[in-house]
Amino acid sequence: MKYFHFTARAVPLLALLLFGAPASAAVQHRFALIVGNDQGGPDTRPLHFAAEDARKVHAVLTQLGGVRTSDATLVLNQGASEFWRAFSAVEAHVADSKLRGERALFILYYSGHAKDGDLRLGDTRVRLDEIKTRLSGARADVRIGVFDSCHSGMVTRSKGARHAPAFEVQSGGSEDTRGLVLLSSASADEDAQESDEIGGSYFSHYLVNGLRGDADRSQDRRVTLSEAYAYAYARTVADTAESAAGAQHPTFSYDFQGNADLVLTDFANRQEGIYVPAEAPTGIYYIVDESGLIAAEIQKVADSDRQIALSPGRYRVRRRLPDRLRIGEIKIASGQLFSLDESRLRDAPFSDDPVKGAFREEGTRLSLTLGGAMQSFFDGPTRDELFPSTGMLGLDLEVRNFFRRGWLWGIDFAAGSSHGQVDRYGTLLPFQFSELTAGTTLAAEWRFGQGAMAAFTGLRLAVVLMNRKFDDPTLPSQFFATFTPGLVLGTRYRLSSSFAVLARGRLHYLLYSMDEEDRSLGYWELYAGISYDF
Amino acid sequence: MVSVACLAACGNYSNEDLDFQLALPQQSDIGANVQLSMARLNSAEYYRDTRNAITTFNTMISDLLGLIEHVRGYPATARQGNRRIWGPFPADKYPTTWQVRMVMDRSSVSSTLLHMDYWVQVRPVGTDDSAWVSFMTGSYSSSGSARTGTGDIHLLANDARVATYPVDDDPGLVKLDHMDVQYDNTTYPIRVTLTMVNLPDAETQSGTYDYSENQDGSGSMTFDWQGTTTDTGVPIAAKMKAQWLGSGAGRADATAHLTATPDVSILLGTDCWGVDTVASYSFRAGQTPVPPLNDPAACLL
Repeated sequence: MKYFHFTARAVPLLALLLFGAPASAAVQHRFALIVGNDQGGPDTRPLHFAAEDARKVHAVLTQLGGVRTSDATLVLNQGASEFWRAFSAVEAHVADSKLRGERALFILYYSGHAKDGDLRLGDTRVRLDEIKTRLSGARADVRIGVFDSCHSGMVTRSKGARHAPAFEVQSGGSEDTRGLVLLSSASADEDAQESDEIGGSYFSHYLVNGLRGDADRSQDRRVTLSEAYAYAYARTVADTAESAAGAQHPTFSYDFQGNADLVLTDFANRQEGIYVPAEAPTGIYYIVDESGLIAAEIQKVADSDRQIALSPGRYRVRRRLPDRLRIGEIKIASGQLFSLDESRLRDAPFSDDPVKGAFREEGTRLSLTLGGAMQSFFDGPTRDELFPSTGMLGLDLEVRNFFRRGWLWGIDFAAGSSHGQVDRYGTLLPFQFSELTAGTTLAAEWRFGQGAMAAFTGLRLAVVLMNRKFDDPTLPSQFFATFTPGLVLGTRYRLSSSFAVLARGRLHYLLYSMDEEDRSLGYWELYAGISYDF
Repeated sequence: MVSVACLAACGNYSNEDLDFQLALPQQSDIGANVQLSMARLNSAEYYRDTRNAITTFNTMISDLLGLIEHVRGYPATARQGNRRIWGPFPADKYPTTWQVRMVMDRSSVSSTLLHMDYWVQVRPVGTDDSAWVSFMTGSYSSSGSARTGTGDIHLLANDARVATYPVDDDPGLVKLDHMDVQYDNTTYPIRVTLTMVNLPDAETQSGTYDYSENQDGSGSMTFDWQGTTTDTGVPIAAKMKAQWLGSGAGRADATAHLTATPDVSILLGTDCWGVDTVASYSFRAGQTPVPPLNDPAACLL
């Protein structure tokens, strides 16, 4: 067994090959275990894109990486037991593959929290050392571990690895490459950073982007592990250099026999994607999906064409110039490679930037919501003659992520009025009904679609003051003040970083006691409003 | 603010409360509503007498209903099934020595008929519930709607007086034993009868107002005094019966009879008047009619 040090601190990207090429005589069977967990348990703040990053890695490996869907296991937001169960299952599949005489490759990808030598899977933990031991002992010919998490460089540090732009192997070469490669998104003392704009962690984003084709420096329509790492390293360091947390440096270590490059993705026969011809202007082309997030980037250099694989769909292309944007819309049809012609782009001001970024909320957010509601009691006689259905105007003040992330606490006020009439022994008594409410809500909120859409549910306790004034001036006004507990269910769609529309339903129980008799009863309320985040 | 003060569910938001309030008569239900508001210097004498009697009648009704205004205007203090209690409150004129309350009971007659009994009671401050004395009682039965039906009200002045309540501080109640009102506003004609019975030592034994009102505004009022004595001490009764049209034109006849022979009455006089309230015909016993007021054909009634 050879022990390879990284050596290429300042050299260009890897030219040598690491692993056995796909053209090897033996069939290579690829297995992948992809794990993402947004939660890290106590003393950690929830991540926003860990699970999403895992989905993206799963997609690129199954679409372009030669991993059959049946051999790709995606574990999202599960604990340690589920992780090890999935790990063991992959090990068993690898063992079966080896019994069939196949060469086997096992990719483990993890995106989530890591701290003090543990991967944090929700409230459970998995020792990094144990993962390394299991990976090292796995029967796969090639084992690749990719860890995108804070301080994940600990996984590589034991082998003396450091962050470097690329790694290089000096070896006599052998197609029977065997060994272990570990990649981490950050050094042992660095945080792995996420980005609203790209809707993921920097490292995973560029790793996926590279695997889709932008890392193909050799222009052979294949992306090797070294190409992908070099690309992800360079882009991650560049993009995080100016961040408040400081530059983030991916690291690697490996322990190998044999010498050949490992092709991770191959899109030579896959036409779905974007092709940028050699004569196209240089620069970075951002491919923005319909949700406003960057789906891919293409680094176009002079006199070189580029190709990147993308799923069918509509995209917008953005290239930034010093004084303006060049933007355009494209549609990638199934099975077709879209050739990006510069004539398809037009000049646009920076204000037309199609990149919205993910709507991620950092820290406590205060919002004010104005809206209208319709309230009605379930019981017909009550609705007809006691508390008529009422339209209301409401004002909500909410604090999100105050008690804990994902929780919201709010106070609300609403007022409304309507007309009703009551029939007492044949005498119709018209009245004006009015209502004032003040409530407080504690709810949990879940975000979807890169954070633009959120659903929430919780409990509300309100004080309600109802009053009715009869048209007959001889009858005194009547009032009732009481508490009303209820359930809240709603959804919020963010229009921009400051504005959102909100739709909400409430089920409430009015504590109504009169004449020494409990007449409590339920009512519903539907609300729609627009909120502004301060 | 109210909610904070309550600290729990509270209020008077109740359809049932409306029944209690609807059962109580209003001035418009049982007061005289006639077109006799105008008076001139040359208005007919009996027109002025009729008008004064109606004003007195309405004043008495108003004073009587004033005792229960608290009920109609304010929410009940206590609710006990089919009973509502307002009070006890400090009595207006004697807040430190007397308390007043009103109790209403609803009877379950049927789902379409409403029957209420009510009492206005007084008691000395510091006494228990057994000390309540009814100063006024009443009942009401609906017919057709909650606001139409028959009812009666009784002012028990002497019962309160016996209980040491200072009834006689009110000049209008001096020498009054009791007063009864019966009313029926189910259909036209609306009928209201008010009877006052005085104590035996009063100058007048009793008086009765009998009011009737038709839908077209026409109506009648008969006021009857019993127990007045002549200069020679013979008890006699006097009665005036006034009738009017919706326009206000009308007539009044005054009669008298000996209490001992109620069937034999003497016509004391008659006035007829037009829309302008000025006499169109006038007769007085023992006097010769003076033209142009000597023609009975000038009377529209």
